[in-house]
Amino acid sequence: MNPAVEIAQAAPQVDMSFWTLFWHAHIVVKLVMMGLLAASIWCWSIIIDKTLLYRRTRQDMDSFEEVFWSGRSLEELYRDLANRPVNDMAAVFVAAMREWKRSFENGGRSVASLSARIDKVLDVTIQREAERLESKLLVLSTIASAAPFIGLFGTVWGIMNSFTAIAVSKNSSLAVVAPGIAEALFATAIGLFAAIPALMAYNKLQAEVAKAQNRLEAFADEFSAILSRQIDERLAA
Amino acid sequence: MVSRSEPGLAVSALGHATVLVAGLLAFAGATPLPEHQEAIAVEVIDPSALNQVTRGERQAEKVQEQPQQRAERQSEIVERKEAGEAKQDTPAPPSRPPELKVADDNVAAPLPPARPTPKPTPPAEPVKQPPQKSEQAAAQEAEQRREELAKLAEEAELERKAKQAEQEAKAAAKAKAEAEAQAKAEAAKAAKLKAEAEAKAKAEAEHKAKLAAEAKAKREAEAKAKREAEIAKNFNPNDIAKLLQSKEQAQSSGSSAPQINRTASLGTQTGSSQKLSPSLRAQLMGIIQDQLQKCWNVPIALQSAPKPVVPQVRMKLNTDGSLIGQASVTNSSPDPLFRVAADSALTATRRCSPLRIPAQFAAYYDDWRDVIVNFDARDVL
Repeated sequence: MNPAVEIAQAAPQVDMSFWTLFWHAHIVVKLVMMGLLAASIWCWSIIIDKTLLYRRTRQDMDSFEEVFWSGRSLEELYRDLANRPVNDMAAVFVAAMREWKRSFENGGRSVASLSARIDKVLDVTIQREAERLESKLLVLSTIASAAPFIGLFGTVWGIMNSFTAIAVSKNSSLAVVAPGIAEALFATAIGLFAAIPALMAYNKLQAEVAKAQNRLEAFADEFSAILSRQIDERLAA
Repeated sequence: MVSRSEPGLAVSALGHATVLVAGLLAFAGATPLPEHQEAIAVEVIDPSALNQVTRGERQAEKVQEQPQQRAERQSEIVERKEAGEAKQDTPAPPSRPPELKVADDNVAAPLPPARPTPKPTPPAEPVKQPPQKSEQAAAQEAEQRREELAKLAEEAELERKAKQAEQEAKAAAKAKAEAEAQAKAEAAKAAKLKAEAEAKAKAEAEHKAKLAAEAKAKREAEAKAKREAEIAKNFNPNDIAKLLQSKEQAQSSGSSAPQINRTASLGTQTGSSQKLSPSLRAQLMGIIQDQLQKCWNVPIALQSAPKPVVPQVRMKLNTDGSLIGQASVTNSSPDPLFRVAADSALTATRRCSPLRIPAQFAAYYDDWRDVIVNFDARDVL
């Protein structure tokens, strides 16, 4: 027999690829790793979705403001927008206009506190829009704070497991201990891999949401000022 | 579930798969750490090696690579070794040089070196004569040569005579022929003269060499005679002993070891090579204590003493285990019982002498020739 083959068989194959690290780990550590990987996938999907959503929102707001301040008749604009689902600024506009229309459709009986009602409607709509923008951001925050702990749990479990294995086999040479600890530490690595982007994205997206909300509120204030001027003019007329 | 407005999940899953595959490819295996090198070379010495520290000298010039016991004579082959060790040092088998080829290599076996073709044995060259050969041989040779030369000369003479006769016969004939003959004769004469001169020079050189050799031999003989005369003149009968002594082989009571080693290595002067290992020491002390306690009549008062009274007895032993002189008590105590206990212990040492020391401890005599034994009544009970 070829001596080289014999040597190759005798020497333990030291394979430390990701797959080996995963495959040799304890079942609990495996579950932790898979959970963290799923969390990472989920968190990245949220990041991508939200980034796209905010970009779209910004573009919508820009185009709506352009149309709004172009001197077009508000009635006409309302008629255009009322029949289709609308978001953010357009939604605020439509909600306020609907309240306005409803108040004057009934022969102008309920005009006295119309300004206050419109403010309420605007507030509610802004709240709803902000909620829509903010949804799922909490998941990012949770993953960012919990993933390291979950990974740590996997590591502790793995190290515990390898120490019990040492105790049973009564062999504590580093070559025996090292693979088990490396596998266990892999869990923490995955935890950090999931947590770090989640934390950074959460902060960034949170800022984006705040910015959008501020913009909506500014628009709502302006729009409310326009409407109240109209109401006062009509009451005086 | 994959909508166009929310492609996040698909993109994320795809991205993770890509990262995992890249990781699998990029981190396929761990690179082994660089070869570890000790910052400070540390040699671990076990207790038995420490016990075998060889004696060195503070004044030695340098530390030897492999310190050996200083030895002036070679000891007998049989060396005293600890029990369980081989009786002799067997030399390590010669290691195979790396350039030697391994047998199972698929290489044709090297051809045996071609047998040298038998050369025609050159004629035995005459051994060159040493410059100073024996007188007789030189004389003989010279004689021979002289004879040869004489023969040559005779032949030349004969020839010349024959030619002269011819010349005389031819003289009447032609002047030309005469001139020719004369030239020939002259040439022959020259040759003869030359040969004669050569022979003479050779003989002279030979003679000179002989004379020189003779002179030298004479001088030497004279010098020797002079020396002997001098010695004879200075002869003092009181020096006989000294003279005899100086002729003897150098004696020494120096140490001996398997190898002679005249240079001492650095080390402590008090370190000695044959020391009892801790376990052997404990064993030996146990053996001695056992024997002494069997000989010891423990005083009754000692057995019931509230405070233990333990006299320590120092014994000097011979190689056979017998006592040298008296044993002595090394410690003291104000306890009135102590005197009794010490006396009984000393009696026990006398009664037990000679102690039976097992043969395996004989090599360590230096270590146990002066022992201190505790006589503890509690051990006896």
